[in-house]
Amino acid sequence: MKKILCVLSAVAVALSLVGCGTSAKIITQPEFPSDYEAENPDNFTGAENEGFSLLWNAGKKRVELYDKAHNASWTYVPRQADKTRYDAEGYEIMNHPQIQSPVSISYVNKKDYLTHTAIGYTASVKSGDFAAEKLRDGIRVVYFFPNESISVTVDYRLAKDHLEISVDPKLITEDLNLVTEISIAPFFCSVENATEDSYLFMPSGSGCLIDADVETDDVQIIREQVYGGDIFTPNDNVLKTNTETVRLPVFGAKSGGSAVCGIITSGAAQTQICANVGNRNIGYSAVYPVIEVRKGEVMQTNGGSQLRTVYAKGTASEKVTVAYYPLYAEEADYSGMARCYRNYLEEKYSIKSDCTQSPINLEIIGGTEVTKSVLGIPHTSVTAVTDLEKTESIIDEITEKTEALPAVRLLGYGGSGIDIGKIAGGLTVSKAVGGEKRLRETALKYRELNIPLFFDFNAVQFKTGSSLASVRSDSALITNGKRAIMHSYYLWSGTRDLTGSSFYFLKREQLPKVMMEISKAAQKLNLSGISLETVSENAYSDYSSRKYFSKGNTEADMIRILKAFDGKKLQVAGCSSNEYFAACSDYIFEAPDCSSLYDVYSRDVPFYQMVFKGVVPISGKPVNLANDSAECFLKSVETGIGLTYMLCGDIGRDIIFSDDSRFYGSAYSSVKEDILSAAEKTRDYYSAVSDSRIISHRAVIDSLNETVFENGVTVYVNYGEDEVVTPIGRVAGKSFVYAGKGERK
Amino acid sequence: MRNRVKFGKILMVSLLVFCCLFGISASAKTAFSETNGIPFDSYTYWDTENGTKAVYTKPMFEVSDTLNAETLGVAPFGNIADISVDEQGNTYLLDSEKAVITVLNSDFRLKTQIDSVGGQSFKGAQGIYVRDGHIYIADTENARVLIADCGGRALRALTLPQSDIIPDDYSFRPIRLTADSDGDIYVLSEGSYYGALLFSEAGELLGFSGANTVSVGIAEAFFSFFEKLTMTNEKKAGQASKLPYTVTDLYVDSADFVYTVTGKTKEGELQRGAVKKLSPGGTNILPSDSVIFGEKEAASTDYPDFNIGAQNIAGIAVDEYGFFCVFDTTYSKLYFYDNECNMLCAFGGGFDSGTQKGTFQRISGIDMKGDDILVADSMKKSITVFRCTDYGKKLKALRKLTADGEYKQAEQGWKEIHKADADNRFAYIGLAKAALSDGRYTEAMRYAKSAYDRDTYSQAFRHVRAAFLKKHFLPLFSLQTVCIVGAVILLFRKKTERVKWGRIEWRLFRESLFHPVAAFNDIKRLKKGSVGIATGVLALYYISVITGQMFGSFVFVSGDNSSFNSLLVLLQTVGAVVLWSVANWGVCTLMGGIGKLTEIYTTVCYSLIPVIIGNFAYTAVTHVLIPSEAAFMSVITGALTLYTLFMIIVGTIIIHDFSFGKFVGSAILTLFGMAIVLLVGILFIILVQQLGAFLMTVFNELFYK
Repeated sequence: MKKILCVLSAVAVALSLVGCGTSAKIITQPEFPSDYEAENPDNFTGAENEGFSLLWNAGKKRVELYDKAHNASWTYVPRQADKTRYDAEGYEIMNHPQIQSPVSISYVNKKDYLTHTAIGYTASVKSGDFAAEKLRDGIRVVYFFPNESISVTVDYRLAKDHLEISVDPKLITEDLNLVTEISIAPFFCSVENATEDSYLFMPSGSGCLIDADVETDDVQIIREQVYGGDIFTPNDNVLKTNTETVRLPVFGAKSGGSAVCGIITSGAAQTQICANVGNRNIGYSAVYPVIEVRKGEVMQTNGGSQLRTVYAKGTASEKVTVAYYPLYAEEADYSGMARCYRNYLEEKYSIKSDCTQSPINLEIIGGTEVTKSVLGIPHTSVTAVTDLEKTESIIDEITEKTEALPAVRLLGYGGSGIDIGKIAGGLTVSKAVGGEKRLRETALKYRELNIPLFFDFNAVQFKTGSSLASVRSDSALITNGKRAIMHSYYLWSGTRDLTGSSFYFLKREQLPKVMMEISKAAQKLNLSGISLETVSENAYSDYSSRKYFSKGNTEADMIRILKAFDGKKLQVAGCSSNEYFAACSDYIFEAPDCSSLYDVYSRDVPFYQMVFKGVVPISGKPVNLANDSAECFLKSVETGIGLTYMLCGDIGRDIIFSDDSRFYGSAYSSVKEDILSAAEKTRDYYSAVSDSRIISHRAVIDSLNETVFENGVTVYVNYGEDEVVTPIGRVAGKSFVYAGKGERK
Repeated sequence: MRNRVKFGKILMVSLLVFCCLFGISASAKTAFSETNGIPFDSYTYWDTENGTKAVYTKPMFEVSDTLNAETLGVAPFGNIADISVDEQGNTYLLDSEKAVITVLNSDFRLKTQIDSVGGQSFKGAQGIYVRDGHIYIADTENARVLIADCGGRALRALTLPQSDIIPDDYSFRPIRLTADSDGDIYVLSEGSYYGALLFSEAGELLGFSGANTVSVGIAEAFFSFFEKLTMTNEKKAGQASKLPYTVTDLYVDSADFVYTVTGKTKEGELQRGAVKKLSPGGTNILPSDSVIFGEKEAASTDYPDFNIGAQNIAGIAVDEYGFFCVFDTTYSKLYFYDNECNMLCAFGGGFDSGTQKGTFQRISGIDMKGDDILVADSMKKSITVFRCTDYGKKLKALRKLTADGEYKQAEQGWKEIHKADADNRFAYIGLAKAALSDGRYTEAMRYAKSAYDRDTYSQAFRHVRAAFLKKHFLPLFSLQTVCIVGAVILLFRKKTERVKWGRIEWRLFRESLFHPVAAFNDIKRLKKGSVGIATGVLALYYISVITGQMFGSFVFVSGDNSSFNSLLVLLQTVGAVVLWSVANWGVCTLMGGIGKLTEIYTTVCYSLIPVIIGNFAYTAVTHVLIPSEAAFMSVITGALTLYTLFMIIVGTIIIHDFSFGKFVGSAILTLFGMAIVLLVGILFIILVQQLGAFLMTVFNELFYK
């Protein structure tokens, strides 16, 4: 016995030491070529087509896109900045170096880990430290930053009607410093400060406009991560306030009769969209993408006594490409940008616009985990708030009384209810709500009635291991190689409850496997559709593989996964879906209806709805859970997207204390009359616009918005309290009026 | 020996079961936070059986406008120090840096700007108040109060007069001020702990008003007195005197009551009573002394993990109905209360770095305009207008109706509130009171229970009980008579008849209750104590405690059944008895005691019978009585507990053959021994945890490297 113990101990110690001796592989970038050769060739044409030329301007040391039809030149320097301008005393106004920069970089020194910034114009272009060369369809410029020992390669390519600017993080060279961020063409989408009829478009939530009508001495820079914030680290424990997510990687700027629309066509998940507003020193406001080249996370070190930023062991791997579309005249506004972006999506995702949309959509909560005392012992189990029998009665009643076929999303009918448990709820149906057999019957019934039923699976987060995903081996990792652990929040402070229970994110490489299992389970359950809320609205990094650094390859992976569902007679629905998911799915629930409401944002616009309405069936936020239900109702009506209601059976006192905010206004008995009344009010209108796209949208006055649909229907929505006169008649406060083909309703 | 082994096994099994089951925890919840039109969550607190809990609520307020220099079309603001709204709805913004008062009309359009009063600048002024056509300016840097008409024409200036009531070291730096309908002016001076200076309309100093007092506990007072007796003069001179906390803001309501706010009320403790409503005599007439304003879960102390400081309630505004709103400068939040200090809604936020609408960087002033709340932010240089939502207006109206006793009138409204927000506690209370006033007592009990409203529940229960008794009087009376007669018969039976049944162990067990000395002597002498019966009694004790918690009436039981863990009770009951027995056996063996482990265990368990009877009786009574009627039950259960203690003492003395003095010594040592056993147990658990962590580290190293 003693011998065995000795041998085992020795093996354990030896293996531990072996483990200590090795470390995770650090992926190094190509070394900065200190003997680089700068190259500023004479003017040349990099590429040319019928409408555009891509030119190298040797005098100005920059790439320019020349629009032949409009005789206009576009580049990353604001067009107004090329003109000589004078101040009030007659001195020439010098351009700020930032507005002349093709790129800006942020980097950390390997020794002190302090963050610095280098502006492309002053650190590279001005001194001639770059090398430009012609590519087959464009121009490549390598920007050398000799003082920082960094180089960044930027490719400019001409496409049919736009310019593409690409940065491949793998081509960055480094030496003493590590690149953390690259801002691409920071002032390509910009407008001059304090000018009328100009604004920036920011895709925060549903989308918003930033008026450039003021100049301030305060630096106002807002950054929002595309597809939302990444997995939080244990030390990122202050949430502070609520924000919306950038769901669409598109941005733009309008100035007078022209505009430019930027679309991140690849690597969007690795970027943030940044708005630099009203800075008096710069003179311009701009919106631009910033690539998160190397992610850093603040962590406790030295036994928790110090906070330090731990950087990923390599850069992001996916090439980031941004397409810039010049827009003119009636196209030069956010409606034009929406149309431009929609055309891009239809081409990229080959969307078949077979869009039958339900005016009423239901999200029904099945069950939630409640801790109860069983013989004096606390026991947590799923308690049904709406069992399948009640669910059927709700759907049947709504169907019968509204004479509409609702799209239904079933939430919390899985093994752990609405809470996080096993991955995808263990692919089971909670017995509390009726069990698998009962669900099969329900699914079959509504399949025959042609009512789409989407059963929601959480394929991203899990709290306990299962045969599908183990906590130990199938959890996503953070930059220090440890498991990403997420905690719940305190409602009152928005801070993490670090003492509470935690959950994990699925390792990215496991997602396809889990999704396939979900697909099999759904077919076994006779489901006509599945809902993937967490997959559709989350993008996250996983530092177990470089492929997934900085949320890399999110779009490509998800598109591949969703394509695998084709041919399985299984519809897929998302919730507040990101671009790639929204474009590939069969239904979008809970389209975002406002922005993050930063102070610099001037007003929200329904850009998301303008893109997807009539392209993919889409519905709005639950009317009954909205802070202002009347306004939420009008927002859905304004863009013709379906009305959504979140429902459950009657709830007891134990549910009141649930940390889930979805219960407080969702009791069916309380909401039923509102649904029926809303359906009655909107029946004709929705049938008039059901499958039609949005042509344009504008704010007529502060509280009155106008939306024009492709089939000629125009709707005016009055958010104010007072009656307003519109071109098609009067509209009462908090109401709407529409007309189609000369007919007013 | 066999018993000892058995005992050890029981102990081990108990420990294992505990270790396996103790780790049961609540489920993880997540909050995926989207703005939903507002970048913060609106919530309130429920006072539950287990303390307070923050719960989502439908927002009472939403951001309707953000006003700044650009939107108003004026020169950039320097530092908006305070805000005030007059009776006509005009808003006055005091820019202390630029010494400008910006006046907005009721539509928040620029009306005028005042940059001097009588040609005098008020740069550095920190407070403004407008009433009855008078603008009062706390001109901090110039140590005066300027009074002007609404056009900015100077009426008079108040400075610190020479007066006996002004302490020599008093520094007059007015920072906040208010005035009542008589024109009396209350002026707060920076850093002053004397309260507000009260001036008459004519400018005559009337005295100080609203000062906080120093509260001292009995023990604190005693030690302070003792220290003073023993202190040298030098030490006395060097000692800092204890001063009251300074008032940070004040506000006069429409009925001329002065509200004061004290940012900090107690060092390192819960910040209770931060808001006061002063009667003309200076006493607080608001039921706020025990109220924690602001975040109740934060316990108003520092949160170093989150780098969050203690709460600081720094300002207040009151509306005509007594609803008031306070703001906190740590969390940058606003808290809205009714006139009974019930928090209706918490909103805002930003942790002093807010860049979104409705979030703040440094709240400097607050006022109400009708139902709306205006908040000035000196860092963002803006005014945020929070519009009261329809839901908020309805909630306010209903709270007022309920406070006025118009329960029936409010019922339909409360139903609508409940429909919109099932988590609204006041809806349950309102519906309970409405049902009670309407004679629907069972319904009232149901709603009151949901709202944890014990008073309303008790009132309704009294009616339900009376109806029940009236309806079932005859059978209940008959049952009561049978019980009494049966008890009398049992008591007056001949003794011989009573003792003949059962084995001797059962007889001794029964007799131990009525004749503990004789019974324990027999147990010792005849060696007829039964471990089995004792264990049964112990189990019964455990069950009685659990029953009390789980099946006691809602109005008596504290603690939430859903989180009640009977395994903890197992430790507190069975664990304590076993631990006492083992420790006492060990200690008394060393002290020459002759009692065996089984005898100690048996004696202690038998002694628990009175407590068990008390527990079951109390549980039953909770379903019959209401708290105000059940005071006698506390006396009875207290007496039964004392009797149990007496039995333990007698039993221990007898089985160990100790004197009383020796018992006392052994009992003290037994308690000490119990502490040592617990300590060893804790060390063992820590050791096991560390071993587990070490093995986990080794595993991780092997697995990941």
